Amino acid sequence: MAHFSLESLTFSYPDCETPSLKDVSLDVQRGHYVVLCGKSGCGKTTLLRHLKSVLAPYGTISGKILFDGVPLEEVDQRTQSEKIGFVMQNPDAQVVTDKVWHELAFGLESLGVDQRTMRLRVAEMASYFGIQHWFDKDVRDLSGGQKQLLSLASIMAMRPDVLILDEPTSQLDPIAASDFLNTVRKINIELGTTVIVTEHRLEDVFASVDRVVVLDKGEIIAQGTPREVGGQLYAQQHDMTFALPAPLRIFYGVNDASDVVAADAPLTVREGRRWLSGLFAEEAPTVRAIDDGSLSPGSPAAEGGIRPSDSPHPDATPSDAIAQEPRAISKRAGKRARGQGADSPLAIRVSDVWLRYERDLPDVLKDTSLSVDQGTTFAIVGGNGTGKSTLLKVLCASIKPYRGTVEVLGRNLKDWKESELFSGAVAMLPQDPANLFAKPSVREDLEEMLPADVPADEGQARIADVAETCDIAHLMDSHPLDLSGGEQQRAALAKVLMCEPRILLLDEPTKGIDNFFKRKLAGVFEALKAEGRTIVLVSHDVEFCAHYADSVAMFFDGSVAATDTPQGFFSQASFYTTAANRMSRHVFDNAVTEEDVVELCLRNK
Amino acid sequence: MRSAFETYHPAVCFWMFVLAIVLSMVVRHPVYLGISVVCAITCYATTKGPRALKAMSWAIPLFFAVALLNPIFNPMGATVLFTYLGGRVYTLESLCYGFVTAAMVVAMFLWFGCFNAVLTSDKISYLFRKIAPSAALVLTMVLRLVPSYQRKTSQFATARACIGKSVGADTWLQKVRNGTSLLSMLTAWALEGAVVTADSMRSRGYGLPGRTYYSLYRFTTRDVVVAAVMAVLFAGSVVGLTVGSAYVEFFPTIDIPPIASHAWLGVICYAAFLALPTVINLAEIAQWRISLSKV
Repeated sequence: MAHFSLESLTFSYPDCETPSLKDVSLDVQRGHYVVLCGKSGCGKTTLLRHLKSVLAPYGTISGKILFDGVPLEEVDQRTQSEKIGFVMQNPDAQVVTDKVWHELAFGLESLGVDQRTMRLRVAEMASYFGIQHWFDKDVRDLSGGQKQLLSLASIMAMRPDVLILDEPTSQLDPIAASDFLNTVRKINIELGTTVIVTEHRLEDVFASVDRVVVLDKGEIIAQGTPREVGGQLYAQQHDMTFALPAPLRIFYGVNDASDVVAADAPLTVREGRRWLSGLFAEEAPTVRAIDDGSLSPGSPAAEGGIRPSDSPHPDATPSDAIAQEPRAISKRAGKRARGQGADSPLAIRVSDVWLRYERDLPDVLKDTSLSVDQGTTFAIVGGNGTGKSTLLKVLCASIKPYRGTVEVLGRNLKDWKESELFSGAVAMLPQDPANLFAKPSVREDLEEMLPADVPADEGQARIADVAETCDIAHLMDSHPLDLSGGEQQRAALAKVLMCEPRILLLDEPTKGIDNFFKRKLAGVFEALKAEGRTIVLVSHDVEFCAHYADSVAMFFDGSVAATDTPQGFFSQASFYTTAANRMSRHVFDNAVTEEDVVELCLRNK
Repeated sequence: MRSAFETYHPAVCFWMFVLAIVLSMVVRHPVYLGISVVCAITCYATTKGPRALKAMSWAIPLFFAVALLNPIFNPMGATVLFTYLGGRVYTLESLCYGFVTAAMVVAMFLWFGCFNAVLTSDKISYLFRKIAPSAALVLTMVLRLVPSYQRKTSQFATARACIGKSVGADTWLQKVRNGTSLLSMLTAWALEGAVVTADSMRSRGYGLPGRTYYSLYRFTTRDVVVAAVMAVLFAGSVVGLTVGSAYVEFFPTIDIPPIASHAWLGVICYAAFLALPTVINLAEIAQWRISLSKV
């Protein structure tokens, strides 16, 4: 008997004509690790929330949900609270109390467990998760990853049979995310708990799950083991293939879906390397490197050199850009449009900047220097706490360094007046885009940004222009907080663009958004660069920077450790690089993206 | 810095400070109040460290303010020091009463400060878990939310500053508008977060009958001993007060009778009761010094 059994579940929200879930039939077996994936808005969260009565949304529902053979409505709240654990997306809002020990005991208190058992379970869970060192701490002193782990421990203390996780790692950085998913996997293997996860970051989970279920617009379009699903998606030529892990994408890029057995497909970098070696076992590849025809990999693009450019058509809309093959959008050293000639001032020059927040605290920025050319995308990567976000704050004059100079568009930052700086020079998109929304509709948020002296029709024209660039024209009347992650990101970007900044600073723009929105975002960046704007982004997302940045700088210990084009940078790095690079570095020299690897493989065949 | 008295059972600490505040409130005798103020200061110093007393330095101006302003509100008393504003008198008795009242106010503030330092949020929630369980949980949640709201507001302000909508350097009307925007953003965010928190609570079974409470505290033997000592000393103080050892008169003339021999016991009990936390803390420090010197 399946642990969870959904039979022809159809659900629509009130006042909605199209159902959010259409005829979903799914069986989750005991002890299985299942991942649910799909584009943003496909119904994953709606489906998961139906698996627990207190969380199920209101609406018209038909079909059956069986938990251990019993209809879910007949399972009482006590049993459901105990047996079905649910971890949500937001690490901050999920935690109820202010102390770690209280949070761990919260569920047990609610269930009325006696003192002795409670103490045992809390002690056991804290030790299993390694939380015993921060048992007495306040919750506000914990990082996002720790809070999410705390929520998980709190739920596991109640000994659930099923663990349901709704995008648990979307707000976490890659290392915390990977730790969290490893812990979940440990729980599934060591305790035999059934786990159902929703994820966008499929690289981490795809290899460890038992079954994958893919949803699109409320319907299941593929389900099975990971390799089977890969085969099914490629056979359908579905969009979701762009979300699959790099080794799978490379495999199906090189081979046609109908020519190969799905079971041969590699899922991890390790399997990918083995497959790639097998491909060139008899004869070594003749073409080993991507030839970009201008810069050799390794020359810092930050020095600025004119690259032969293929300017996109000035009327190109972002949808045109997206409709092109991903390869054309992805970074090729030498095929970027340059806003101006080489003698125009640098967009940003940071020289020998030192910064600390207080006199007796250690330096956050130590001797930081970098320069950004106009009309390029400059990505800053690096681990947590290295000072990347602080650097962005320095660039928008939020905090001042005690040593060193910052020049923006040729002038010292100190010489810029604040009103001047933010009306056409610099603007920053914060890590949490929702921090920008102040009005009940997107349209009003954009109208708020218009200066008082602009006539109404010109203002509306500007708004329409920006909405077109960011592809949010259909969202103008929605409440900003009702939008999905990717839509919020674009709406916040639209608001920032209303300042008409020449330099756009973005703090973690790809946090918590799926691959499709990342591509849309990249399309927006292309359109902006065509207008001559500069984009500086700080990101943990190595894959995004590899595909879409013009220069990459690695930030470590308060200063820039290295700067280069993505090609040069990632092909020289061993760990801090894309999956495609790690998979192919033993065969090819400088393949950084999946498209590079596929191109080289095909050229050699 | 963890003082010894903090480690006792929360109920012991709670009653200690509540009774200290009560005892300080009911007397007007300068000797008694002097004892109370001194004991409160030493308790605070031994709990949080002598440097923390700087935080209480506002008590000195408060003391003088209350004392010197009292005669302005209270013109009773026989000895006139001077007259002002055409006829109003500033009397010595009123000034002395002012000093005594100021001492009482300062003593209460200091004891409240000690209360705050020793009884943290989780101890208070623990104490009220059976009497008002929802209130205790709400207290816990408020304590989590308030710093979180402060942090979020500053995030909003920074984000808006970086797109040119800063709060400072504008006309007054602009400042008000920006402030209102921040408030409405915070409200919207708080409500969204509250929905998630409510879901998280209900998902873990909040609302089911028979809720228990995880207790970190055990009522040990030494708690029993200290509670017994406290009870005896408090009873002694109350007896002393009812016998009249704290009797004072300020109006129309000052009359502070010397403390009768039979009333001295009451004073000693009062002093001993209020000095109890200090003594416990100092004893622990002494114990460590002695044991370390043996090493």
